Amino acid sequence: MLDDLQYEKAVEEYMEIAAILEVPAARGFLGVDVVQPHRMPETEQDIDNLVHAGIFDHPKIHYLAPCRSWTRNAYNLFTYTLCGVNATGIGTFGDGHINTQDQYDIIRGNPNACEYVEDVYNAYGVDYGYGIRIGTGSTGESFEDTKMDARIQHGDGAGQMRYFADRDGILSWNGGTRKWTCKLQRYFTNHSEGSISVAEIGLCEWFDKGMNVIVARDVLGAPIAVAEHELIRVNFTQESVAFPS
Amino acid sequence: MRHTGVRSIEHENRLYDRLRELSRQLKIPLIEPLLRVSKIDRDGKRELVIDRHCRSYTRNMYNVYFYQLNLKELGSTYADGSNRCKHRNGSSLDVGNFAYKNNVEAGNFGYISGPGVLGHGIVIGTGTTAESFDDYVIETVIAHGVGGGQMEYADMVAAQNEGWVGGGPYYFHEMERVMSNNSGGSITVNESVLYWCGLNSNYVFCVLRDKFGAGVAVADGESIAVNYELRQTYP
Repeated sequence: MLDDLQYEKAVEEYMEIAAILEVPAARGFLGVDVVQPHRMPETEQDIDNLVHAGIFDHPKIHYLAPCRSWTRNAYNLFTYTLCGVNATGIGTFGDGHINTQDQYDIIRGNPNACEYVEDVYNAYGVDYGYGIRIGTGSTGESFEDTKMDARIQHGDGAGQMRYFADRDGILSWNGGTRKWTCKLQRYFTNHSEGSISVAEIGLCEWFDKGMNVIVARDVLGAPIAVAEHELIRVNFTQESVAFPS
Repeated sequence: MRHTGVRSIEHENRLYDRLRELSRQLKIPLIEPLLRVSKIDRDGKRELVIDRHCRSYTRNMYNVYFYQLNLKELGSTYADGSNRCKHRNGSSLDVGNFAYKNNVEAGNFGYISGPGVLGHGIVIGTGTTAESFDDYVIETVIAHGVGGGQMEYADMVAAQNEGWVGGGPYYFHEMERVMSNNSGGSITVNESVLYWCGLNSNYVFCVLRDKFGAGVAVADGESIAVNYELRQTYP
């Protein structure tokens, strides 16, 4: 397995070749920041106020690493949509089969209604099972991941954290580099009475029919301890290859 | 002229070999577009005249690819800084309209078109303008029919081939359309496009437009087969 530096170098090469051949591509980054506010936020507005006050300017913990975690679900969704291929069935999830497997181990056929799912990553202010997810599991990433290893539950009990709403993705265009960037973001607070180690981050896509499909899962280089009364922010950022001019 | 950094077909193939290798290693989805064009004589004998990667992904395809990763829309016009797409009729569309459909391999959905339908699937033309990133429509369409300058477009539903190649590994979808010339005269084909149709014909996106290096002359009584393959590399 490549370390982060090797991975970055290889990604640079990939993007360079993709730009020459004019094929679309994107790279990902995972950012995690932990801060200790004087007063715990209770609402989205509280979090906005803290952000505007600069609480993340000097986080207690800052983690940034490349994402290397698109799963078979994500690939199959690409094959459906960009290659125009129907689901091949719901009997088997694996090589040669175009379908998705949700977090409850149910294999699904063609997804529906993508045109209405602009905010599929924007889970509401509780944990409805999609959006950015966090967990304590440290089992290495696998292309076959379809669920979190050990998901942290929403709540204030032992081992639980509060899930705030996924923020609207921040999509931006850089006219100089001709690249798109999109940042998906979510906040979590630890109101429990002990420290919780966050070891894995997932991204879960929502469709109709109740499909919640993990499309990416990253295990952090080392677990990040979030103490009682601390606030954690997860950024899932993607940057496109330079668009042709 | 696109792909000015590609020196030759061999150079292009080497770059794709490396891109595939890195795609698997890094887990970055790669969708290779390939184009094959064959002439079919009166006896049904095929002659492959073009066999190469496409050099023609449009802005529509780039926007859809990036949208697939983040599912966010931005902007109100089709231009840099917006990820809206362009319908073949010139109007702009939300990228999210590049929708999933229950059956994308049926006639007139996805990349597949029924007989004689020119609004979807593979369409050919006589235009000679070089490819552009902002192509959204065939330049000079060859109409369906048997009149002067027209060709008969076959059904695409049965002319699909797809599957998993474990030795890659990759999943491929080949789409082919045969156009027959019964016009009474020769027609030179210079360009082809691949259209995607979402929920209905209000949502048609050109994802590839290829200008042939040299026009393909199709005599009366002959046919041309245009085959697009989209190949998704898997780790």
